[in-house]
Amino acid sequence: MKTSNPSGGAACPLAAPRLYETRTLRRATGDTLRPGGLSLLQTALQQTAWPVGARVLDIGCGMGVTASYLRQAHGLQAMGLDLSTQLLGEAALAHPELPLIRGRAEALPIADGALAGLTCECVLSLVREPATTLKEFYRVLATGGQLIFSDIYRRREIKDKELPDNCCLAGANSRELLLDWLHQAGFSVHLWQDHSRLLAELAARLVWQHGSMVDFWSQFSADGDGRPMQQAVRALRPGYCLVIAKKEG
Amino acid sequence: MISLEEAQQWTCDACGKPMVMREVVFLYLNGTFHVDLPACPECGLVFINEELAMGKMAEVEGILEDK
Repeated sequence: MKTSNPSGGAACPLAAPRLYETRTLRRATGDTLRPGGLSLLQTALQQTAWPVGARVLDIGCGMGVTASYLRQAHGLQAMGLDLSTQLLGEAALAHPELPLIRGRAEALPIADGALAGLTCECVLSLVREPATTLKEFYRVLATGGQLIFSDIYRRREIKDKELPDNCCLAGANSRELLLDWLHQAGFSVHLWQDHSRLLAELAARLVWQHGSMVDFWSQFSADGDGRPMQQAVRALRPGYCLVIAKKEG
Repeated sequence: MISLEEAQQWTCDACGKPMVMREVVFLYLNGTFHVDLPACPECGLVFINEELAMGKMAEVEGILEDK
């Protein structure tokens, strides 16, 4: 829940202040800044074939937890990329061995076919052009390379005009649209799993910590009223998915 | 949220000690939560007030049951 740039106005809870840079979110998610911590990555790694030493990039690396885990527990040449200088600074302090890049998911400073793998967790819903971004992911993967991806998705389709102005959850897309974009980018999808329970547990932790979801959103609303945001959340019925996609030969 | 001041107004009936705020591990609807709640410093008994039971826990229940 890190890079890149949400839709962006002052009313957006992910924009000002950036939710993913706050202690408020960190207290509920831990340092991975996403539902489930490392658990979905560990699930996905059982189905990927990255040999020791393979080059892998974690997109939206935040504080570097995932990339560091991939290096230490799996022997991968993992790197991290994020847009947030604050989070990259924390990643450099916590994991001095970790190669870090400041950049956007939409325009990776990586050569064609240079990577065996990509991880991108709770990030795609924040980028400006997700379809273009997935094509960029495809470009930097070598043939046979795999993308591990998890994110919030819409379980109920509503019109964007039903959302509050600059609602960052507008970046969450439906299962059908995400799969369509993956296929259009050239990927074959090997796994789609619903893990909405992890998002629910994160929301429940936020309620415990803040009193209610409305109270939580109110802290990030420009006018101090978290009700429109919570109404949008209820309308979207956001879920959480895990995807493994492959660049076939 | 229960404040420290509110917690200190309550006393454990068994031990006679004023409640203190303590991180409590809560198992609820198959979820594990770490919550600051008033607890007896002697026996560990946790106090859940009506607001928590009827408000916060009801919202958490709705979320976890995907209502």
